[in-house]
Amino acid sequence: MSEELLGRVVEVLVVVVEAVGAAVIFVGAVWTAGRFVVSGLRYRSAAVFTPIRLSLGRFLTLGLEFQLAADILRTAVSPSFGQLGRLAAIATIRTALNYFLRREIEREQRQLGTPADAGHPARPGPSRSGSSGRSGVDRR
Amino acid sequence: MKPWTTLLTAVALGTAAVVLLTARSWRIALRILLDLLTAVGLIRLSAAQTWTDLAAAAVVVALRQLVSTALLGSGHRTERPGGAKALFGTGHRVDRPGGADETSPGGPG
Repeated sequence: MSEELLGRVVEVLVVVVEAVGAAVIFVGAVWTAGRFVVSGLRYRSAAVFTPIRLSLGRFLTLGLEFQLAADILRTAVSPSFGQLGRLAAIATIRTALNYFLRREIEREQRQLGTPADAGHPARPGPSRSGSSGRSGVDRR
Repeated sequence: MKPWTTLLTAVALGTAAVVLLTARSWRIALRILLDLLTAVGLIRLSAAQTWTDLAAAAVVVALRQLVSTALLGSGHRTERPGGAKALFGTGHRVDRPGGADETSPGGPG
């Protein structure tokens, strides 16, 4: 009885966490798409898009973290090998994408000369790249 | 879930079209389109029930990485509003407004 209750609680948690991850990705994509359009029309310059792409990457990695958390939770209630195999495939795709996204964000941050932890999604991009006092060159 | 992914795909295509018209750079427009399509793929992955759905989402994500690396990996120069030049790609070369041109010793990643 208690095992059944635990299973149901975990199932609800999985749905909630997965939905939060999907919502973060959706809202982030729509919000950055709006910023792409506004910045494109306002500045008509290619360089303003890089900080916005970084914001989108951060939204995607945040959403992926939630979805990976949901995958881990789901392993607690996956009774068959078939479900576990599918779960492993999804988790592999998400982990690989998370890795590539993070690498891309770090690379572009080095090009912009912003510190790795300075990127809050809500911060406007062009002013950040312009006001940063750090060097735009990777010295490592 | 499907209406949301369809809506986001339409938003991605529209955004890429606007970027193409305003920035006049197909590389940047393609990169932005691929980034937004990755978001669509991730949302679709959340609703993947069968192995076919899963394979489709995985192909979209893998294709995006492949195109991003193969086609756009070389990088090119873009103008910043303030006058400084920067690379919009994988290169590490940065031109300073004063004319000093620095190149990092390490490769990307």
